[in-house]
Amino acid sequence: MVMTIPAQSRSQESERRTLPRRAAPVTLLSVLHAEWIKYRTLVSYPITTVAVLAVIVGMGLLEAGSVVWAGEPRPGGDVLAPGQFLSGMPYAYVLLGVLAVVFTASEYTQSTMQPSLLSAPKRLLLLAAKALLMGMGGLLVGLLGSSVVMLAVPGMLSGADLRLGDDPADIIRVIAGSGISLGLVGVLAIGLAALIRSLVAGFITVVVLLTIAPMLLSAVPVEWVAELMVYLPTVAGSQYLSPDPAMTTVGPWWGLIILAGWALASFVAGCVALGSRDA
Amino acid sequence: MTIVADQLTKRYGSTYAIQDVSFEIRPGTVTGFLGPNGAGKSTTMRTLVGLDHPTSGRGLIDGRPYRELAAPLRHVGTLLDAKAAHRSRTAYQHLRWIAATHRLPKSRIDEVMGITGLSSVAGKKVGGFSLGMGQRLGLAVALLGDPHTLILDEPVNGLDPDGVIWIRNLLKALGREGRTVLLSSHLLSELSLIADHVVIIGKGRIIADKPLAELIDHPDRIRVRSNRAAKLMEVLAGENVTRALTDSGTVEIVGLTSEEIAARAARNGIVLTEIGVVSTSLEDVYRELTRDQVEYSADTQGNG
Repeated sequence: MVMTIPAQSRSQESERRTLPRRAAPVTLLSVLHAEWIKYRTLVSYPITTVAVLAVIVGMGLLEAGSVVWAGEPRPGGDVLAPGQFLSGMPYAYVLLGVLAVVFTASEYTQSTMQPSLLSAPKRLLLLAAKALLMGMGGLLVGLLGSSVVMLAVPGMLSGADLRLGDDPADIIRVIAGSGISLGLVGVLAIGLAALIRSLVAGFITVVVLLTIAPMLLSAVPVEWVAELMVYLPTVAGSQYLSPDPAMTTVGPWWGLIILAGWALASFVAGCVALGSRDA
Repeated sequence: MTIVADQLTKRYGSTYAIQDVSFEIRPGTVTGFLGPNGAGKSTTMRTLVGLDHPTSGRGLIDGRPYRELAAPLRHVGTLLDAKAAHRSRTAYQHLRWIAATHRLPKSRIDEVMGITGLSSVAGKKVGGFSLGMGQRLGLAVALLGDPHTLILDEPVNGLDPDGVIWIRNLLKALGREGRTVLLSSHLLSELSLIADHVVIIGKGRIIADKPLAELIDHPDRIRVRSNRAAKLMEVLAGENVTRALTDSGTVEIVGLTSEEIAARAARNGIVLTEIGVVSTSLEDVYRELTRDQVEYSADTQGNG
């Protein structure tokens, strides 16, 4: 080394020692932590997440309220299916899907993809961390929202001599289904956004795939086309809400597996696209 | 070798952004990467750090592709785009998430903000930053992992005169600490103040890779003015002497000292009205090299 060290460089030499000698490798966990910081440092992300929760809970309570106030005799008797009170889930899917698209595509619009890939150059790791964050986020919000609904609704119904179906398996099915399906939608949207990159195009694709495609397919007066509808991500993923699982074309768990297939396919496509393209 | 470009080629359709770009950056040197806009500087740098996939060839950092480094920011810090931060995050938050990927302590964020003079705006949103502030933030990101090597694309761009002096001193200090710096610029005068080695790229190809001193180590030209320029040309003729009559009527001589020229003129009764030394600047060398490059390209196009 040089004999005389200028003042400025000496101060930087001493600063150098504050870093641990052994470099910590970039891992899925450390990238996930970075993604978490990205998420919580932009207010719109937590706000949208709260909105997803509010939609699940709010729609559930609204449905319970309208049932109580309507007070009409129910065709199925006084016992109501728990899935009826999770009518907010389709809205939750779209909201979370849009959140996940913005979370990923804004990396391109705000050109933060560059520092993202410089600090986490293994692209699979980066996208996996994003998918994990949105997947876990969706799972937690879905579980929490549906649990709140399942806890609050019986109290509201009891005033009108109504009650929720008391088979615990049904309750567990709708709570688990809400969490799992919402988490999978988050992963699906992350993959799509990585594939599409554009904020607007990603936004449109998610809305079309999650809400408009089911409406369009159900409007086609050809039987086999309408039957395909059940294989669309949100339709398949909502089978767990059906009051009588035995009556559905695909059962609730098979529906979730179909949605998982969509999420996996989208994630793989996103990984391939992100990995092969120039950033 | 800390940075190696090994026959890097990047082709878009039928046009080459860079072609067979090869160089090695020796540790502890400040290397200027020089070329006109669009010559392939940014493409080369982006390929070195794995942002762009080369069509062929490879870039290596410490002997490995950037993507295979376990903790890349501890090896090399990169500044490519001053605007590469989300406008709604604060400077501190931007550094915070990048630090998290490498588990760097928060104290390091404060340090790099101190080094780059950002401490007072740590809590300000990046969207309100000037281009110069963005450059400082980009440099803070590059220094975050305390890397031994820095890759900086046009770091002087958009800086006010104070900022230019600041970054010049910072880069010199980093060089003195023994860090390796690869620094691109189209501002030749800027590089000649900082760099000790220069790689010149033109039209996607490397056209020079030399120590700065060697590159500008040309014999001085003497420029003289006389109303008897033609006669002067005659009396100055000799072996190893090149003379040129310029459009403005002066004579430029290489191979004789000004004393020798004055003596010969005096012996022949020629009055010199002006005598001066034209020192070769990096700009001249660069212009000469890139002119050759243009001619070369024109030739090959003509043949092909």
